[in-house]
Amino acid sequence: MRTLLTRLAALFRRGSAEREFDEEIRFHLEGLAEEYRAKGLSERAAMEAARRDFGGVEQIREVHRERRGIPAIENTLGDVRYGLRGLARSPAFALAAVVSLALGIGANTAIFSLVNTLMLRLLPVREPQQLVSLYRQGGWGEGYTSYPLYLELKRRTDLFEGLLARSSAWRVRYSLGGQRGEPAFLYREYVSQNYFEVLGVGPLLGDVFAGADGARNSRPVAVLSHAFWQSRFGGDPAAIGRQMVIDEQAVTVIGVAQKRFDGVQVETRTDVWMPVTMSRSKYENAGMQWLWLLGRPAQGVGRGRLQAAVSVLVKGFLDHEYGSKPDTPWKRKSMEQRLEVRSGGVGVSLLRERFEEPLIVLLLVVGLVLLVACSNVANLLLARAAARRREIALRLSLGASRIRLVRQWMTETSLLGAAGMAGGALLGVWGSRLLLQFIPRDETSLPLNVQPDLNVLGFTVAVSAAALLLFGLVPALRASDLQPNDALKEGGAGGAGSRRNRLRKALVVAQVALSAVLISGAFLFSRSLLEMRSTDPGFRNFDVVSFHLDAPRSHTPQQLDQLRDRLLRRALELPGVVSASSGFPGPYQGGIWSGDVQVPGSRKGSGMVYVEMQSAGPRYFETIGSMPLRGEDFTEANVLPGRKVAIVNEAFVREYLPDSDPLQRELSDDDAGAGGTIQIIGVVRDMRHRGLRERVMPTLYLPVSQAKNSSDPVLLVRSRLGSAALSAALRAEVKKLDPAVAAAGLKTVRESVDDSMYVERLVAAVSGLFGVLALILAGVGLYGVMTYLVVQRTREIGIRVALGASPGRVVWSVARESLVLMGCGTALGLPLAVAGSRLAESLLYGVRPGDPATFVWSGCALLAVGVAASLMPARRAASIPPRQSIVE
Amino acid sequence: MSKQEERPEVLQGTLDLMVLRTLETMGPQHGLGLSKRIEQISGEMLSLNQGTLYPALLRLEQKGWIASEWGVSDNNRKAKFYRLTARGRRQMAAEELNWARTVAVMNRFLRAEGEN
Repeated sequence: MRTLLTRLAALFRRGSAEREFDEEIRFHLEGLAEEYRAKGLSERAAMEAARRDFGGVEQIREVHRERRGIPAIENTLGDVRYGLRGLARSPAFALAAVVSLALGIGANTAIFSLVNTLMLRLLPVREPQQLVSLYRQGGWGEGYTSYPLYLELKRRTDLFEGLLARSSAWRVRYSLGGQRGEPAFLYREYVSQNYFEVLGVGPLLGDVFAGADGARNSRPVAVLSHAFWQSRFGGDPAAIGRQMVIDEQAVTVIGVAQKRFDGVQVETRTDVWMPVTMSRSKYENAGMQWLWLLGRPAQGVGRGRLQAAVSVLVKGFLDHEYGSKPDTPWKRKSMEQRLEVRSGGVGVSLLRERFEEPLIVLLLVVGLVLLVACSNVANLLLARAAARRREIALRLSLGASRIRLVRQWMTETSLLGAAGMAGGALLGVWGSRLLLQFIPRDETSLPLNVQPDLNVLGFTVAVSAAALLLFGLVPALRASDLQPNDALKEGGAGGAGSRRNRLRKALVVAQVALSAVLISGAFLFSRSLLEMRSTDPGFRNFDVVSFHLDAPRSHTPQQLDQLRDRLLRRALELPGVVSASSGFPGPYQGGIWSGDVQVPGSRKGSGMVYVEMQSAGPRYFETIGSMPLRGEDFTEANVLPGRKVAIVNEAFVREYLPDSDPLQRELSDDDAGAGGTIQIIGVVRDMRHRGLRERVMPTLYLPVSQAKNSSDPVLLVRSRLGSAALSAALRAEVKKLDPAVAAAGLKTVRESVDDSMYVERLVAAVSGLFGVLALILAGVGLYGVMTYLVVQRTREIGIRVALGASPGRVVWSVARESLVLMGCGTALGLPLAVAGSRLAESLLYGVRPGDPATFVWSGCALLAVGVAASLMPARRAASIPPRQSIVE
Repeated sequence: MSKQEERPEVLQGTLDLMVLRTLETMGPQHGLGLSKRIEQISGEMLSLNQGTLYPALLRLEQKGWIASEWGVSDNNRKAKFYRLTARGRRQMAAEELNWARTVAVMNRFLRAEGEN
């Protein structure tokens, strides 16, 4: 203990202890020398004899130094100081290494943050890993299912210890007791009564829902999220019992949920929970898919058994619900529904469905980037080791222990690693925010919460440590694997060191191979995006501004219809406006409407056929820029009360009326029994209304005034003036017509189309950025090795030149070497890239995975980089004057 | 050089005891004095690189058996003097006992080996 204390103390007075000891040795040596002088030896001989008696001064000093303090800590501190000094001496090297690492680690952290948010982060509930999510597939949409099916499943207590249902979090208006003014919004989620109980989320204050479902007449109540309570009620406990008006409905606040809990859906945050039974929609309808089910399986019920039982149950339910209905395409589609048991601990998410695969591809991309960065840093370190051979040899011959050298070397690389990790963590946090910009959202939706947590921190540290091992250990071992005599004897530029060169060359080849994969990916994804962007959606006017009306619930549909009509008329009077119309669902607005229709005399028989539907206002097709190929657009003249008309697309004609003039044909409504016939008045081009990847379905366009389902048509206005000016004017116009209503989601169709491609844009941007980066790094690596080789070969080249080799030959001999390296890397990398592209096949559009052109271009890009990187070294080689090098 | 090679190396541990014993009999000494005294008593039978004394001194000081302070030597120069502490004195008794045991054991061993 005492020893430890004195040693610790010694750490802090290292310098003075060193001096004291020197003095002690000097006294000793001089004492000895004096005696020898007295014996008659010369000054010099006496000192030599004294030294002989004393033994190796340096060794004793080293032993003394190590015993004096705590060697581990002291050496480490010393190593750190030494490392920092060393790095400060070559700032370019340090900067290049740290930046490479920071980019590699940062890219991984950024992508992983998204992966973590979407797929790994557990809900802050009781034992989240027990939860299962029942994900609906088949039928329309996905994820959500119906309330009657929920009740059916919930009854099975042998399967579920508890099963909850919840709607998505909708943005709705609210006010606190009688306030007026600007409308305020919150996110409301309808949940089953047992929601909090099943999740094991308690109240922080007051109560959460309890008791049986279906208590229809219970008083309207709401539970607040902690964040909402803090921001809107200032954390006032008196909030309990307060009245709120949410979406025109008076409710009483009964409690605040525990901290950190803001719902179970990853991409949304809930402010207020209300019981399902308070929904004013027809929630008991089996056709209304609006609830996502999460549950805890009963004791001993495995995933497999649960899935089997649920499937049987769903089938029975659908049979009971639809079995007796007439056989229509709609019924068949309804009966395709099934529920998939998935793990629910990470919450539910629709974004995950779309994003999972691209994210994994991106994770692979950034993983490769990190490898490239590591090999780059390893190469830099090797170059540095080569430059420091003599220093190391000197220290070895002066008695420094090999292990100490390795440790020092590792300390230096660890410093680089630590700096890279710090930089990477910052870049990662910033990068993950940047990535979010690609995910489309409007003013009504919340950004994903990518706040770094322990998962992300752990990942970053692990990745950095792995990187450190990759790039640090080999050069360190290499550096100390050195015979002092050899290195000291070697001339500055001479010496073969061929093993070292082999390693550096191998690293460059690996780097080029990885870059080949990355740059091919970049080409492939960019081409795919370009293909997609140049896909003709079937209409031309991308500058059309689309928006919805955001009105209080008290406005009746009739009122809103009138408001829309007046608004469209006013819009046409605005300066610059060319045309205006409305429709549902509208171009790239999300949403789908479909139904059955009868095509008498169709070659498919006279039964019902299942088609996509769209409602369209007057001059809809003129507004979006796709005039009918035959017949006419909807106008006030041809859309009249009492006459049903429709426009169909080419796919419809191809599918059902290939042999006759469609304009001569009539259709029947799905409830054709009522006897209405529909006159086809036009044929339009096939339009991709939802996404560029969508297959165009036979589509029926009906006038807005005649469509039963166009509850919230989108308004479309086209102006010669810019979209910003138009948006502002439209906002003002809406406010003028009805102050309680707002124009929401103003966007050009171009923006909507771009938003629909966000996955492709994100993948192309990330892979493009890193493809180019990898190429640059590979070029830098190649340049470094080539320069080094030329310096090493100075003597040889000088002799060649002296013997009459032309500059061209010299250049070629250098360039050849670099091209061989590049060629090897490319030859290794391209097959890898081809194989890798198959993994990403589903992300590609208009380009096949093994697309030859892409790989030819990638090869050319690599070749160009190879030539550029060897240009300077080759010219330097050619300029070596013959005499100088021989003299050396 | 060849003369030195015939002499046995100083055993680790025995050097400690020699230092302690020397300090006990002679009082405070500097490193040079100690090494001379040890050489003198061992009758130049031991090869001792005088430098190796210093790590031993450091070890003993860290254990608190000896203490050091700067003083003035006979020839009027600044030197570091080592002296035995009270703990060192007690420890020496134990060390002596230890050494006696070691010698006894070794002797018995050697004799037993010889008889066979």
